[in-house]
Amino acid sequence: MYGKLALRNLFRNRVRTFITLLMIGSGSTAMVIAGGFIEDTVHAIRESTIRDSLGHLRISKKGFLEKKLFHPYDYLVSNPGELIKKVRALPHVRVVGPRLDYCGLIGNGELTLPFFMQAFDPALEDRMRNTTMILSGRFITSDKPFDVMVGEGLAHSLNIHMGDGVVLLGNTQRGAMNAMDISVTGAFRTILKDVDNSLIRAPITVAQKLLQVDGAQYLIVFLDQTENVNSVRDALLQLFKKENLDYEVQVWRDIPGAEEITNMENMYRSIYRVMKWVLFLFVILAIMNTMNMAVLERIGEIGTLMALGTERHGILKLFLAEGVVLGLLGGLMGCIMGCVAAFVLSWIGIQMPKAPGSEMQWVAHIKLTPGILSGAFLMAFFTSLISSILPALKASKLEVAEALRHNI
Amino acid sequence: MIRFSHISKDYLLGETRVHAVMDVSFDIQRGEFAAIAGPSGSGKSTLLNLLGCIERPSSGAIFLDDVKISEFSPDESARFRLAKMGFIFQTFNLLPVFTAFENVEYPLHLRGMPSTERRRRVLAALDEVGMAAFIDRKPTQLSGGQRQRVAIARALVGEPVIILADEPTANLDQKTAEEIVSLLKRLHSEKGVTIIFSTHDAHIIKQAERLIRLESGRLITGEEASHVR
Repeated sequence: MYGKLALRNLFRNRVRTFITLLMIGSGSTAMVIAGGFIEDTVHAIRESTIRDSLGHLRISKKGFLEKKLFHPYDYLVSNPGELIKKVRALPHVRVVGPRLDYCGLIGNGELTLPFFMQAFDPALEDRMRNTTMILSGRFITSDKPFDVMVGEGLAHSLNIHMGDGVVLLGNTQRGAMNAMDISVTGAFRTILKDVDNSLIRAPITVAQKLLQVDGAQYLIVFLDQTENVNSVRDALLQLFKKENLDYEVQVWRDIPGAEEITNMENMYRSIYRVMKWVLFLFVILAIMNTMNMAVLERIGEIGTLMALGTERHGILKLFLAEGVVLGLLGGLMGCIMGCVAAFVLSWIGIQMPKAPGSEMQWVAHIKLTPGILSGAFLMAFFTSLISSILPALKASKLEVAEALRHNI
Repeated sequence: MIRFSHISKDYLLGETRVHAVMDVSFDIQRGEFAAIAGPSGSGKSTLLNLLGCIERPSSGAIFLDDVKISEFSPDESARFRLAKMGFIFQTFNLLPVFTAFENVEYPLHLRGMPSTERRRRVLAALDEVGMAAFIDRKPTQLSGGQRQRVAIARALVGEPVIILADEPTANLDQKTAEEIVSLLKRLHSEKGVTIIFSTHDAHIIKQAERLIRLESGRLITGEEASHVR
């Protein structure tokens, strides 16, 4: 009964109710858009970092993670083919490949600069072709095992182009110096300018030759979706236990460098929290004003309801029900408006400027998740409910005789 | 049945204390059709409010069947009104968002009555006051007299012990006012319900079986006999 009465009372003054709903809806819409934008940004940065460098999971010999700083090549996965086959067979696993990370010097005869090498098997990690933004030349292939690609900044500093020969200098596993003449197939760009100043992408054969080792430091694993990382990690640990294999698994968020993503995500989420509070206060004031006006306009009616036998908690319920109806309708309206706005904005695309430390422009979208939509809806609902508490209390505490005088 | 014992009611109007009712004592028996008469500001509405537990007296006590109703808490008063009282107001006080049917149904809803029983009673009450054909009309679609009939049905539907009517004809033309009073009288004689109403209309006063006259908050004694038929 209170629901019916609340609904009808709300639609007595349709313009005011519509404006109030619009305010609640706008608050929810703003939350959906801001939340979706942040979600998309965080998702894009996280996914590109995972895709470009971290991988979803890394499998290494037991002891490697603990001792890799001082003994980076003492715990190699030798003959990884069999393990790759087993891991590849697990659900959600898309790519598994051997990796070697290597640091050394690169020289063009006139200038020598330090480099960091991501060495992988181009045949197994063909996906890297799609995820590498090639500025000039072509991607490395397994049929040319001693060709490399260099980062944009490094290519620029050394003034090297496709087909140029360079020398790589570095230590072997045993600490002796080694040098190698290689050919540059092209230049690429990642999202971080600093990385492009020193990064080389090469077939794993290049790193193995420089180090004079077989095998890989770790196997990198890419999944269909980042969300499946925990289940695949568990499956891997089960596999190692079952087959008595001496390997350990590292999830992307535990890999050095991932903390930057977490920090960035935390920063965005803090901004979003502040925004939510601002919207929350804005919507509370708007609804409180509407509910106060509703109480003031209906003092006579409240008196009648009380005279007819409605107890104070009944009046309280009535106005809270109005808040609930406003919240439900406003939340629903906000979610619908938010979805439409998100669709339109994503369709158009939000052109973003270059991020600090990056040379890449990007187009942001609004990524909607059930969490964002339910958050916006619940914000509208609870804001309306909270805003109606004070006016409802005020209404329930009216003196009956005094309230009835407003009817005359 | 109802006993007013040395009832006074004061209000604070700014810094001035206004004595709305002063030391009023009287009894009303079950089944009476009584009018509370007096000029504007004489304390008629206050007296009805005190009787309906809408206000509490500043001093004195009110008893209904030996139950002291003047010291009820606000929620006890609400429950008491719901169970025992029917109210008719000068300005009809129908809920504008409800139809005639829903307005009459409201007190039964509060009692938690099942819907089939509610429907039966509401239709019977509206039929009783001649409004059976208007059940789906909102108050704004009804005339003043029709609204008051719906209000009477609402007061009647809970089968109260007492119906209190505060100037029920004040906002009606003479003809409609007489129809409403006739309706109240008929309901009183057919159902035996106690009806107490306030008025300052001489025509209406004549219809009452008993008159309680107030002037400046005081009960005028000795007048009653001359008006009681």
